Amino acid sequence: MRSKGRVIVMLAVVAVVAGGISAGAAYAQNESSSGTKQKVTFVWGDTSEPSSLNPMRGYMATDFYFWTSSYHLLTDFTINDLSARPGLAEKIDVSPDGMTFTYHIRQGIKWSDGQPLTANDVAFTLNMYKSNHAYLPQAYLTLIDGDVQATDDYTVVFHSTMPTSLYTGKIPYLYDYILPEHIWSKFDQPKQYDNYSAFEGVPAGEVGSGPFVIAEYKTGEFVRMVRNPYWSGPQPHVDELIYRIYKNEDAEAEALKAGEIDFGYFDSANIFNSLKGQPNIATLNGTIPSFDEIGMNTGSAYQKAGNGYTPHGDGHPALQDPIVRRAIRMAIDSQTLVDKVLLGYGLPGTSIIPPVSVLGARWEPTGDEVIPFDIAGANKLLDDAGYKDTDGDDVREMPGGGQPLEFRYYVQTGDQNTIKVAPFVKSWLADIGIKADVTAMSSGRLGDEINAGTYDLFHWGWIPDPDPDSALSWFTCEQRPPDGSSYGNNDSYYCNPEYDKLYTEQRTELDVQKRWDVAHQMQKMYYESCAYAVLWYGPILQAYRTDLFTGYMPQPSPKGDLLAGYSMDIWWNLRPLGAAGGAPRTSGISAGVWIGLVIGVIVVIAAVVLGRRSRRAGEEQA
Amino acid sequence: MRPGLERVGTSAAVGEEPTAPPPPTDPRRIAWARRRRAFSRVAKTYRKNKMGMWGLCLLIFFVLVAIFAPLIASKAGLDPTCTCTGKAYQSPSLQFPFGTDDLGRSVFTLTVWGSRISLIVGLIATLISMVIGSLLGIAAGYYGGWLEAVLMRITDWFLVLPWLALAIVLAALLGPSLIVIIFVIGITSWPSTARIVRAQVLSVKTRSYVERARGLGATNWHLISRHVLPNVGPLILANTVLTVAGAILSETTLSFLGLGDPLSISWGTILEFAFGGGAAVAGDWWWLLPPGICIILVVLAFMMCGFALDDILNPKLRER
Amino acid sequence: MRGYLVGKVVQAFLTLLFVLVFNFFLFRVMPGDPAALLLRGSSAYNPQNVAQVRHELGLDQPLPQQFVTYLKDTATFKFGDSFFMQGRPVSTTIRERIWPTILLVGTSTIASIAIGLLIGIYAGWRRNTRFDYGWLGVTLVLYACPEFYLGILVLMAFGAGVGPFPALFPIGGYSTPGAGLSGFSYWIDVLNHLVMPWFTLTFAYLGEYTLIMRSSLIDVLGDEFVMTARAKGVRENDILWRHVVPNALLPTWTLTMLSLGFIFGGAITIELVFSYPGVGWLTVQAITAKDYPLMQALFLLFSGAVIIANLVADITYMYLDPRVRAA
Repeated sequence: MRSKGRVIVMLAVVAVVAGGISAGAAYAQNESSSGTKQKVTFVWGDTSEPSSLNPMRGYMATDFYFWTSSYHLLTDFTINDLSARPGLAEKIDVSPDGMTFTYHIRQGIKWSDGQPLTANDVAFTLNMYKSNHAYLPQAYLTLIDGDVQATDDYTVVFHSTMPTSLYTGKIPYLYDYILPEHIWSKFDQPKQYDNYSAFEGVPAGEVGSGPFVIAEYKTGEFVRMVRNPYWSGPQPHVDELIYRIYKNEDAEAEALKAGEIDFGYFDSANIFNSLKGQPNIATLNGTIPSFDEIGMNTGSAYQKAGNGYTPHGDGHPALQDPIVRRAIRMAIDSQTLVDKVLLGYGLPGTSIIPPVSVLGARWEPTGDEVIPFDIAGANKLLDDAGYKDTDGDDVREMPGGGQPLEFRYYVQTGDQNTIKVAPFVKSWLADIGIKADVTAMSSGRLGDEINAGTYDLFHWGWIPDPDPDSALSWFTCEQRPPDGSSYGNNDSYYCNPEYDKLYTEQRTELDVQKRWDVAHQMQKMYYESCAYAVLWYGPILQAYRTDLFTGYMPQPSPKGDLLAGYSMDIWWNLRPLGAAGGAPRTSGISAGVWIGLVIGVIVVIAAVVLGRRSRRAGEEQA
Repeated sequence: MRPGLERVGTSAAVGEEPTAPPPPTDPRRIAWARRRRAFSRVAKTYRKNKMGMWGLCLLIFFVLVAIFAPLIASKAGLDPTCTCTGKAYQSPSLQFPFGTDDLGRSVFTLTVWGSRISLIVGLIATLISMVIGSLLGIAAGYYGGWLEAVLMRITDWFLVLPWLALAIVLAALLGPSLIVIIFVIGITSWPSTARIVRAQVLSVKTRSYVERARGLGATNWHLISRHVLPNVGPLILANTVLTVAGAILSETTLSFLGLGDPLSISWGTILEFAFGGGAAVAGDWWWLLPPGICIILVVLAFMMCGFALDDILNPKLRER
Repeated sequence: MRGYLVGKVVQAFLTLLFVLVFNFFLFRVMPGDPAALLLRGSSAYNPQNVAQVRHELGLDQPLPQQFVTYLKDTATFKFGDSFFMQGRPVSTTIRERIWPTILLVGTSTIASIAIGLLIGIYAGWRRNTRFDYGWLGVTLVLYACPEFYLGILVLMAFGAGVGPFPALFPIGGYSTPGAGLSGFSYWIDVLNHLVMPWFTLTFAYLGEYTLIMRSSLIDVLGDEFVMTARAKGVRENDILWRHVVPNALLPTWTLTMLSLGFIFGGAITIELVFSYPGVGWLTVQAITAKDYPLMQALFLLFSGAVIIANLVADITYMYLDPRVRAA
């Protein structure tokens, strides 16, 4: 009796589950065939969380993608080589003394709420950036004297504190996105606006002038952009843009393979390699405008206002000698590091201006200028300079047998590349008689140590602007921290009055080609000082579906960022291919199966409970 | 067995009567003799416990691997500049039985050497945790009053915060090094020990022989060392073994999150680099499986030993 | 008894206060300046900007002043604006993450407790049989596995589809963004995203409850009233469910309530592995960025939840355990 009952129950369960699945499938079918919106969505992914979508606060590379698609720049970047081309400013007049600039604004552009874009927006935006100390944008406005004026609807005029070529439009220097005055003037605290939520009387949704505007941002998940209905430029073939935020690259790679995203950026060479050769996936590696360096303490000192300085900290005295630094540079093989740590992606580093920069800005050492990887040569340099190993422990001492050449070498816990590089550098330094003590710490603590001057070597990196002015400024004397509680960009404490003079010269040079010459001189100077040993220029690893979208535009060409991070052209160039479009693909078990499963579970539980009750009744009767 | 008559493994010839030593009259020797007997009794019972024996065997295996690491895999294999490294991301082969990692190092070498840090961190952290927890638990339970109130308040604070969040804050505060990890695990795991110990001390305190001893004028120290400690001791021992399991898991998690010393090799940091290097998606199972399985086995081993000990030593279970 | 109640409430309040004070100072002792951390590596990093940001964040005020402001604000439930989350209010940031956290960690904790207790009951009831050893073995192995490792294995098997396993479920996230789903389809999508992390969490923590329940049950089985009940001829089933289990549940009660309190702490490593937008990973980000307001609010949330859960556990325990009630 009991076993037969069990069989009956099991059959019933199977029947109900099957019925449930088919019923559910039919229901789901109904759902999907009706009411689906046929819109084309382009989904791209990365593991980077935007810092802020407000151009006054944001400072990460990721943020810029949302601004390039929703705002205009006065002077734009060309796609192929990052040289300048007219942006919002169709034409720029420069006074003969190079200190007054008249920008003629393009007409016919409308904001996404229908209002026209005028000179008023330009003047207001630049003034707002300056007076509110917008983090990034105000850096390009420091040479502007006083306020920017809108002299009529389409003309903007401003003056500079010294003659300069930076605002002439021949260089894409003014990296400031123009915001709508009629929105942003409403705010008491414009920096508090997140640029997509309703705030202080302004309704939700970003107001921009580009082809797309931000509609939604779920932190940790995605940013969604929709079409600007008043966009009058080339019409995009995409209705919505979605940026998906992943916490790790494994999930991102799987999403690309499953078609959940159309395009992804990757940091891990391993994952990137695993995507090569996958069906319908293409990969491209290039370099980004970033470099990693081993920075050295060339003599930490606090910069006092007005050119005085006070030495502080306890950097090893040997590092103040350019010969020692040069020997260290000669002992590091950038090519091996690129091959082993970056798996061959990226380029060995020399100058602090990366290959991805405004055309003409970069200097590259040639012939005798190149400092080669040469252990023997480094050893000879140190021998000749008097740094000998007097006590036979394979570590050199200061000339005259003083302090041994033992350096603190700091790497970062947040950056696995710095950790992987350390054993190589340590081994090479040992080959030239220098002992390196490697310690890992958080970037926060590293900043503290650098500020206090209690370090010798460290591994960090920078992302310079396309225009070299800001990067060159980092190594001027005044960029050393003024005291122990403030910060300075100059983390190698390099200070050379000649270099500082050249810096001012390149800022005020009106002839572009001559300016590049000065910039080259500066790079050569810094390269030869070896205050930094630039290890490599970072790779950009991109993978994308070949069956879903086409129209990517590498910037710079040919192996740059496929989503052209500096210009907006890509956003109307992207076109869906046959299989693409439609709402983003969902994956997982279909609704039908879920319903069936749930019903099945309920039935099983009911059967067990009922079965036990009947059994108990049976037992009681017995 | 008559007291004092210990069979000490006689090598007497056949037919010869083994001579028994004279029964000890010194009370301390009596106490030690009793303890030795209790220990051998425990050992015999333990040997019968299958789970405990399996756990012990596993444990001994891993401890031997950790101790004899230099003989099993050359230490030079840990340095990426070694000429003994191979191509990166290679699957297992004759030369590299567990394949290679992202810098071409043998995963077998990494796993073998990783056992050292994982075990050492687990053991030392547990030591710290047990010492602090037991001391505070005994103090709180025995002395009671305001001392107990204050200690319990502090214990509560530790128990109230999710330990991982607290560990992250402390690790960020103190910097990434092995000593910090040991310290962090130690001070986030003593509260549960303290609680258990205190509860046991409370129950012992009320036993009749303790009251009688106090009535006879015994000092606190005498009561604690002669009565409380021996009764709480077994419980602490069993708890210790279980805590080691937890400590090893904690070290793995903290290293995986990047809070450990990235320059050291432990099973946790191997997993951190493997996962961060995309092993899951790239299909580099050889990089992910060995360290993970080792962790599971070692933790299992400690747990099995701990439960076996608990079964044997727990007075509540023993009385049945 | 009222004294007992009041005492417990006062204790809870004191613990909360202690937590508040300690957290404030703990966070500020951590090295690194939040303002500099925000800007380092970008062109915006210079002394003027950093000083400006410090001023905007209120960090240039003297420490006692900051502490007073902190206490005042917390008392009035003003949690301020997050540093690294683009200056959005802390309450909004946390609110966005709370629901996914409750959905994932809440339901899996309950499932874990229910399944774990059930297995523990049966294992203890049939102690030392094959059933006991079998289930105990499985549970122990799961418990010995770091939960993120289990997550990675699940991700590989059912998300990536390695070897014979089918790639069934979406990798990561709470739902598919921009899919424009609503109503029933939306919840199915959420469900699909939930499956893998949910199973990982549930099975990773089963062991705790199983082991405690099992030993608790074995304890109770040794009590006299069980022998008495058997002698009286009460059915085995009834002995188990009507007499033994209710008594055995008591020691597990506190653990259960504490676990429910810990729900609000999120599941840090699982959220990392599955890219799930919960409160746990937010905590890690906040700590890394030294985002004081966010950290303070989060830690207050965790501690508050657990303290309340503890209090509830103590109070309800009083009603459940007749021995305590009589005291």
